[in-house]
Amino acid sequence: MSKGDLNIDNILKDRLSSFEGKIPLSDWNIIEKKLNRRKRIFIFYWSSITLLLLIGSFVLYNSATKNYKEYNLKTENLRTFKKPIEKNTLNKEIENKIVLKYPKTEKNNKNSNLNSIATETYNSNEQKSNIGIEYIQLDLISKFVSDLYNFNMSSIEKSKILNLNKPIYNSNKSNCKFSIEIGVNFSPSIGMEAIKENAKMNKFINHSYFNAIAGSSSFGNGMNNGLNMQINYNKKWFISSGINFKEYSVYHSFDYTISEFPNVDILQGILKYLPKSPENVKYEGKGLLKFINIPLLFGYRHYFTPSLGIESKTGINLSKFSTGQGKSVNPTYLHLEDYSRENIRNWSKGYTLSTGIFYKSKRNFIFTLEPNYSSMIGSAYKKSYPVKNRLYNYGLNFNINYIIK
Amino acid sequence: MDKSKIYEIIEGCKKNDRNCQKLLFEFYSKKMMGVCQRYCNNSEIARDLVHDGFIKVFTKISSFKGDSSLETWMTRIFINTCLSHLKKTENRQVFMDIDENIHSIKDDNENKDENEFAVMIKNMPVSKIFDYINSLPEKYKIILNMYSVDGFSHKQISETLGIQIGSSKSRLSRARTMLIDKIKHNESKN
Repeated sequence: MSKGDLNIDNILKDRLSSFEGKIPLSDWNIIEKKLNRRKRIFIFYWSSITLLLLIGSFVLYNSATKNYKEYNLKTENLRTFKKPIEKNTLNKEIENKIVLKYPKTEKNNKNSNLNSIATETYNSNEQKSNIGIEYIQLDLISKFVSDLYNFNMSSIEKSKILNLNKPIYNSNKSNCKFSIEIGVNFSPSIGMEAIKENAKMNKFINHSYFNAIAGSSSFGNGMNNGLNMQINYNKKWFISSGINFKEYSVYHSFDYTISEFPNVDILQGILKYLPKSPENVKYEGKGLLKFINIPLLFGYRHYFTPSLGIESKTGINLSKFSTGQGKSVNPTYLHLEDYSRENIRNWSKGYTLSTGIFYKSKRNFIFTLEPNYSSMIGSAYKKSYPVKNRLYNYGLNFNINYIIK
Repeated sequence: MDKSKIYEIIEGCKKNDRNCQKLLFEFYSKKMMGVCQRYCNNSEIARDLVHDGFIKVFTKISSFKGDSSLETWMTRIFINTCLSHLKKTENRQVFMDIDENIHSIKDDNENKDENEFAVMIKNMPVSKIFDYINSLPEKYKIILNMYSVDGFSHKQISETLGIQIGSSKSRLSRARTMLIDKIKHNESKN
């Protein structure tokens, strides 16, 4: 490094490191607003997760306790061990032990009954080995089978006892099934919007007032009500769609005085600021956008018990702009204007995520309660508008569906 | 502001005390606005970056251990905020290695130029130097700011911007030459 370099760098550092720019101290209010917003989102997000975890733990604990009790009740004469048994040897061992222990059975007419009982026990065992849970000791199985056989029970009673294993081993042999659900949903939410410059239209933005425009919005609320239709596959996987009426609302508070009026060329952007007498822009009210929404969601249900479980779903939605109420500020001309078809996109894309619990009643109704997040993928405004406005909300979705088939 | 007062403010900020956060903003906002303006020509965007930078400072202040001064730590956060903004916007050339391996071969005349230049800018108002630097193309301005003013090494610059060390050196050299030329040209007119 030459001496000249050192001189230049040192001098530049001396002169510029202490350089201060002009920034109004009132900007603290904007930062404070943003900090408060982050805090509220943080609280909402974590409280939703905590609530979900609590509900999930409660459901898991209850279903585990219930299964454990059922298991003890059903297998009180059976001991279990965790050593896996090879499938090929299992059948032979069962047959050998049954023949050795009860040789007379072959000669009797009871042969067919015992075989069917043994086969059923084996089937249960085979399924267990498939799903990798505990295995029942073979001699105890055969003893249990013979004990049952020797009891003076009807075949129905015997099969009832043997079938007690089925729920534990999940030996539900039902084939893949499709079912259809229809229902309604209500989803109140906290609405928010993110306002940014449209980089392509940057030259049309009056930057002197942009902060006042972008920082004008605070929390609002949202609502998404509608009809669902859902196709289930094997009771677990599902595709859901429907039609919803969706609202996004945000409270606006504009209060600033324009002292620089732009002279705008529709092709070239802002050319210069014209001297005019100061004008106050003051407005406080709710901006409300309504859409007709068509979702396409894909999800999964996990059953903890036959009636209770958790479900998660995610997907995209297409929103058709319906009506807009309230005022927004045009960042070019700085005047207040209505939301209208002139500036709002006719169709907007969005995405949704939700996870929650469901309860299936005996009358084939399914009630679902799930926190959800939905957002627009792009801006609600048209591409030619100088500002991008992405609307999003955090909500709680409540569904009531009925299984019709 | 004395050290004990700054320590109190930092501790308050760590506890999310709004008054302490406000004090920190009031104390450092102008300086940080200066940092953002050095990296970003548009003063309104710089103002936005100051807002974003302070939010980052308040959310990350719990990780401030006092290894460096608060001002140095904050400056790094604001520089990173500015660079992230530049990455997002159209100024992608700052982060690209395009034919930058023109190693500067300085002769005695160039060194002489730089010495003359050093004397020239020593007596120049800060706002004027600032304007000259801001008139440089983005990719040269950033390197000059990072190396000469904010004390980054070429290695740090290459890591931050994702360019080669050679590119960083040649851009710096080019930036200096352009700055000297501009100042000489304009000052000789006056």
